Amino acid sequence: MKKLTNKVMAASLVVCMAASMLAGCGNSAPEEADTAEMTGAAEEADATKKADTEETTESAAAGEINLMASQNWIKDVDNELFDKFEEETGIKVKVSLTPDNEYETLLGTTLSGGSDVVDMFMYGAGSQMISAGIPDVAVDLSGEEWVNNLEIWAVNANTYDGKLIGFSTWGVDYEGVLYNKTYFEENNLEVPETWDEFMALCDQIKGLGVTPLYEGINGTWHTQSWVYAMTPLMAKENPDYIEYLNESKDNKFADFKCFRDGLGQIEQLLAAKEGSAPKYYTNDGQAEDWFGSYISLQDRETVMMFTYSAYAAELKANGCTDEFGMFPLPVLDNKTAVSNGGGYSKFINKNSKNIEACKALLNFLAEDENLETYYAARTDLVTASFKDVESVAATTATTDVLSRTEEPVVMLIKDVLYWDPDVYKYLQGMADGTTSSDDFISNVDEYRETMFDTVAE
Amino acid sequence: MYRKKIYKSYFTYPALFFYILLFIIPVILNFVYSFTNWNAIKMTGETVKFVGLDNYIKIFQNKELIRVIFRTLFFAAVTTFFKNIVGFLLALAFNEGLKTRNILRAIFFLPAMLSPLIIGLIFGSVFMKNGFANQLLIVLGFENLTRSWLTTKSTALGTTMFVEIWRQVGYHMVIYLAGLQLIDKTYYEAAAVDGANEMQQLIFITLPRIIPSLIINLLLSLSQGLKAFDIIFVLTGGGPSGSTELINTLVFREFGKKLYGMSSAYGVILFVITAVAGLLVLKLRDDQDE
Repeated sequence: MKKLTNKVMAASLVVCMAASMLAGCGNSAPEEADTAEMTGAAEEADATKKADTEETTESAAAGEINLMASQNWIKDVDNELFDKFEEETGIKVKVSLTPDNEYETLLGTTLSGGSDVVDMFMYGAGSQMISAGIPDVAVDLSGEEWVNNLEIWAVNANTYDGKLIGFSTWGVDYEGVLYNKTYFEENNLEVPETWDEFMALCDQIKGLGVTPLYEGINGTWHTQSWVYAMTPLMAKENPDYIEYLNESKDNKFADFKCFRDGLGQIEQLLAAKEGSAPKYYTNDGQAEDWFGSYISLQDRETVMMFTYSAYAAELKANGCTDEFGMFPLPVLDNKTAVSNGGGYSKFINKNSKNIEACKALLNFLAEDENLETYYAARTDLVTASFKDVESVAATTATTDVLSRTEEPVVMLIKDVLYWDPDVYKYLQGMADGTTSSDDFISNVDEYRETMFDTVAE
Repeated sequence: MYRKKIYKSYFTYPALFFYILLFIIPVILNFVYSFTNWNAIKMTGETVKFVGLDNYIKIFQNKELIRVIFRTLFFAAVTTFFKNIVGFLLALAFNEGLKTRNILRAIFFLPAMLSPLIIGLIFGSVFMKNGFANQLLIVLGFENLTRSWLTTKSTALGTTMFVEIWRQVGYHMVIYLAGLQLIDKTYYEAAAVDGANEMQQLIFITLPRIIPSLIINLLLSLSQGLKAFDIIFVLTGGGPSGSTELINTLVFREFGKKLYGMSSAYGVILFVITAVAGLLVLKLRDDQDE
């Protein structure tokens, strides 16, 4: 009997042990807490603490604004301006930052059920805000004075159903192939206009003993940009491609010939090998390999990278003395660059008890002097969302790419619903030969189908 | 039996209450949610609807899952094997004899006390293209062996296993040490008098008496291996192209897609696998007892 009892006890212990991993799955909150702990950043842990309803309600009553944002969206200059706002008005802006990967989950939890936990929050403008349901919870700002001073693209990106709901102090940036102009001039290299010329250029650079491209293919986000570069091709094949793809799960990426052909060329570039190593690109060999690009480009280990034009300013700030230019990715001989559609905006939670204070903050941030301060500090922004800002400076890469492109097209991820978050895996698979471009397309379409079905349920 | 010294059962109620509230109920909810389409695709309006076995059907139609399950089992088996072999050998070495054994015990136990994040960041640098591992290989004349260990498909899983073993081996060493300390010295003295050599003492005295420690270590290391997440997440994020994806990283990824019902179903599958593995180890112990 004792032995049986022991067995039952032991079995129960095993079940509990196994169940311990499930405890986190029953509720989103513990998962988020775990992640915050794992990433280790104190500010992330603070963010979780700050999402305390009671505290926020009290703070609102005391003239405080609780602003929630992802960790890379608030810069030093934002905090400086918030301090200045507090000096002028006595209203404190408390910023709650969360890890990038967890932001959407945390924000969703925070806003659900008409909560007033946050007074303001940040989110991507354009279709991103629409598909996330932001118009349901955001205050209509159409009547605010600063609206008249916004650039047209910023008005469009932040408007839904005739109401402007987002406040943007970001900017439009452009993406293409960044190249070391100084190195190109020294070695008489020509900027390519067709895919064949691009591949020939890569071989020419290899002949000079240099790896042509830095490509952070091990990270989760970067290599996808090559796919977004095909947006102008899709727009050319079907000008209503956004409406077409967003209309139904039966309308697929597979229906676009240019998508299939273009992906084939990208596969050709990524999968080319020299021995067992990639032929045309390299990276620092870490899972998060983005940051290795600064050193690689600065040391001329590589001389090109697919990225955004403001990246040239980042290289300069990092001590790089070479000049950089940019050209549109000539996939299928494309000559049009893509734009990011305008970055992230601030929204006021319509359930906040502090709406007037939030509006006062936006009015303050939209003052000319503060806009100049903001854009002077944001060297990563190459255009402004407000008219006549003098301190915003385009990089040499921005100027170059705009001189080479037709009217840039907003990248597809900004407009097309349900973009598969595993795309980076398919691209890694294309690079190592385990995934074909056809697999890529069927996976992406399958994910969209699942999402359409899930939403329909 | 001193009945008066046994505390009343209601003393357990507060602990039981919190255990049920914070552990048992979330676990049960997880099972329930695995049969729903709970998702937050639309951020401001979550959806929960009962969908029966749909999530499980979708999961088992996914070819990748089978590979992930086998990879998880392989990861758990290999790390369990080496954690125990190396841990046991270290325990034998530091059990007695060495003057510096206390310092060495502390040194080998230290990685178990470090955050997986810190370990991940350190080893991310060690195994990068120009990292310490490759520099060492070059110095030793093995330049042809250098590679990006964590981002090359053929070496990524093995490298993460190495880091996981390095991280936990000291922890298992301590459990074996505790077991070794409990073995009565007179057994060894009697065996020595009878002419048994060290190997015979190890096989006929040490090993049979270390079984309880072995069972505990097997249970713990299997559980750690099957539930591995943090070290993988930091070192490779499941890549390159899914070659280090384990069930728990898959659960996290589904959660990131805001498909909470599907993520719960993956969690239930891992629960079943872990429970079966644990029960098998206990069966081993029971057979040993008999």
